[in-house]
Amino acid sequence: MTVLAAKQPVTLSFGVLEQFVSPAVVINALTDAIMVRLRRPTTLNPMAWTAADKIGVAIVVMLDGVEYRCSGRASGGIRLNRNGNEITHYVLHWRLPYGHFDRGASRRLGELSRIAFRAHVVLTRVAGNAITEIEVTSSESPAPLALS
Amino acid sequence: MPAAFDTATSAQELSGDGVLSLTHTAGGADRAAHAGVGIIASAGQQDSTSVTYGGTSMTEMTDTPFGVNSGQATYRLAGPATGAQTVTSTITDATPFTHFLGVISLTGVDQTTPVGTPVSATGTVSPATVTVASVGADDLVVDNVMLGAALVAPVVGADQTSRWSQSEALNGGEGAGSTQAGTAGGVMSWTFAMNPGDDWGIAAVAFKPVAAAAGWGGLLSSQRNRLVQA
Repeated sequence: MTVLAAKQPVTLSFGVLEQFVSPAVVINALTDAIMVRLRRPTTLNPMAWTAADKIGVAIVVMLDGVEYRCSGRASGGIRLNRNGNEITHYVLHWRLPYGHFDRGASRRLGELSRIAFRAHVVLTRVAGNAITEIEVTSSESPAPLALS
Repeated sequence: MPAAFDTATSAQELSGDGVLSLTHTAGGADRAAHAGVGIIASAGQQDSTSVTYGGTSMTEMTDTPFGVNSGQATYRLAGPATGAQTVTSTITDATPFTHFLGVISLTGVDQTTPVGTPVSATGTVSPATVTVASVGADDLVVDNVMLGAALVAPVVGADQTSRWSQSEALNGGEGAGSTQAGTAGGVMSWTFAMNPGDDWGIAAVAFKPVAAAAGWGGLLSSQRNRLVQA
C-alpha cells in the first residue's frame, strides 16, 4: 500500500474553503486501485458534520493530459451499517481500467502513459459545512492475464 | 471472430448517496459494454435505477433484490463511445450501506443482436451459479455476482476469468464479474464461504459475435464498417 495523501483534517465551509484538492502526485504505472477514506461522525467522535452537510468526493487520475475520474458523494451524521454498528468512515475505492485497450497484451492504465501519470483527490462542498479527516492510499500489481 | 474481452474497471462506495461514477475506456471494432451493479441497502430499497455510459442510457437486463438488504443488476450497451467515458450507476436507496459498480467492455460483438437471453438466480449456499442457455462457441459469457456477507473473497469458476472484484469490510459484501469463452458453455459459478442465512445473487448473459461476412460483398461491408468506426 502506498500513501498518496497522509491522514489530515479537512474543513469545508461556505465562503471560506469550498474545495479541498490534494497535491497531484506521480503514481506507479502498475497502480491497481486508489482509495479515499473520510472519517465520519460517531458517538465517540462527534464531528461538526451533519446528515444535511454534503461533500462531493472525486479521485482524479491524469494520463498524458486525459482525465479519468471516480466520484461519489458523502454526507455526515451518524450512520449505521446493516448490523446496527456505527460506520466510522466513508470509503470510495476505484480499481483503474486494465485490459487490452483495443489491442496487445493486458496492461494497467498507467502502462499506456508516455508523459505523465498522476493522481489527486478533490473534495467539494455541496451543502452545509463539514469537518472530516482524509486519507488517500493506492495499491499496485501487474495487470491480470486477460484470457478469453 | 469470437466476441472478446477488452477492458474492465470497477468501484465501490461505502455510506454514499446512491450515485457512483467512474471513467471507463473502450476501444476496438464492434464494441459492447456490460455493467454490473451490487447493492447493500435498506430493506425494500435494494433496486438499481439506471446506468448511463457517456450520457447514454444502458439497457437493463436484470434487477434482482435478494435477502433482506442486497441486490444486483446488470446492464448492456452496443456500440459504446470510444475513449474515456463516464459511467454512472444510480440506485434507489439514497443512503445505502454499499454500492458496487463493475464495467466490462468487449469487442467483436454483433451490434444488432448483442446478447442472448439474460438469466439470474439467488440463493443462500455456495456456490452461486447460473446457466446461460444457447451459448455459441464464439460467444463471450459475462456475469455479475453479489454476495451479501462473504467470509472470504469468492473463487471464480474453473473456466471463467475474473475481470473485477470489490470487497468491503463494513458489511462483508463482495461484488465481482467474470467472463467465459463460449467454448466452455454457459455455466457460471463462484464458490465462497458465507455466514448461514446470508444470500447471494448472480446474473449472466452471452454476448453474441459479429455474424460471419457472407462472400466478398459481406467482407467488403465488414471492412468498410471497421474503417468508419476507426
